Amino acid sequence: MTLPKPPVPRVVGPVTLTDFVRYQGASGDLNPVHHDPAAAASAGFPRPFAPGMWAAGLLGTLATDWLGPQNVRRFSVRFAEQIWPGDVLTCTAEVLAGPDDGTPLVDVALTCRRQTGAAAVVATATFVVPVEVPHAG
Amino acid sequence: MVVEAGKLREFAAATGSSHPAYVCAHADSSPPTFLITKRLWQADDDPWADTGLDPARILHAGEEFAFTGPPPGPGTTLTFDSHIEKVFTKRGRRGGELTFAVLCTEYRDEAGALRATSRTTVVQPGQTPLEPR
Repeated sequence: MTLPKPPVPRVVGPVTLTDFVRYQGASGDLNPVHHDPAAAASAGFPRPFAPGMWAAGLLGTLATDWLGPQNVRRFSVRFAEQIWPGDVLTCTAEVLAGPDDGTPLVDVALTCRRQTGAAAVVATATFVVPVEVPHAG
Repeated sequence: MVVEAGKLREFAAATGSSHPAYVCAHADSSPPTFLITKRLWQADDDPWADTGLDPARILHAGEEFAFTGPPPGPGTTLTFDSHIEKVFTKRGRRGGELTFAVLCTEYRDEAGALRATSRTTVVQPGQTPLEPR
């Protein structure tokens, strides 16, 4: 039972409205502030911005490529800052705690940063430590 | 809701995953945030109605998914039920009072076993725009 090394940072972008729209269709959240400039403007935003749950999904992918889809037991995400079209995102992962003796669980931190360095979406997750190195990528 | 193979492939692609556990013919899992697609199976009512919050003004502050075992794979039929878990207030960093509400949803499989719990946190009003719903 060996914990695989944390993945190298994953760069996504420059992100596009198409990325947002594809996620919105997949998730069923068609809130127009994420793709319609007029709707974004009337809600007080300069232009459409990314669905937070899209970036959360990118962090989920980084984590499950690392530790295995079947092993996730908790995934908690908080939205800190908006992501705009043209942004280049860097997703990183690190171990927070565990596994300890007799506890096959590991807590990890996942962060999606904008090119400014600001954390836009932050997550923590708990995984069962994989018994074999999962598929990567 | 039914965890469907096609929806899984679509969701995985939209979140940058090509993991065989989601996209191959023998897929047996779902991404950590996939249960957000429950909205496609949901009645059209406003889950925040009992909180007194204004649906047009609330922002998505966070989301949590907890699983009792591996996430459900394609073919699993889940029944879900939501309730408001708590409503509380906090002082914002720039002054003003923020009202938070947490919606808890439990997902049970065909055998009635609890498979997952999600918690959606929203905030109103928030002086810094977060994530409009």
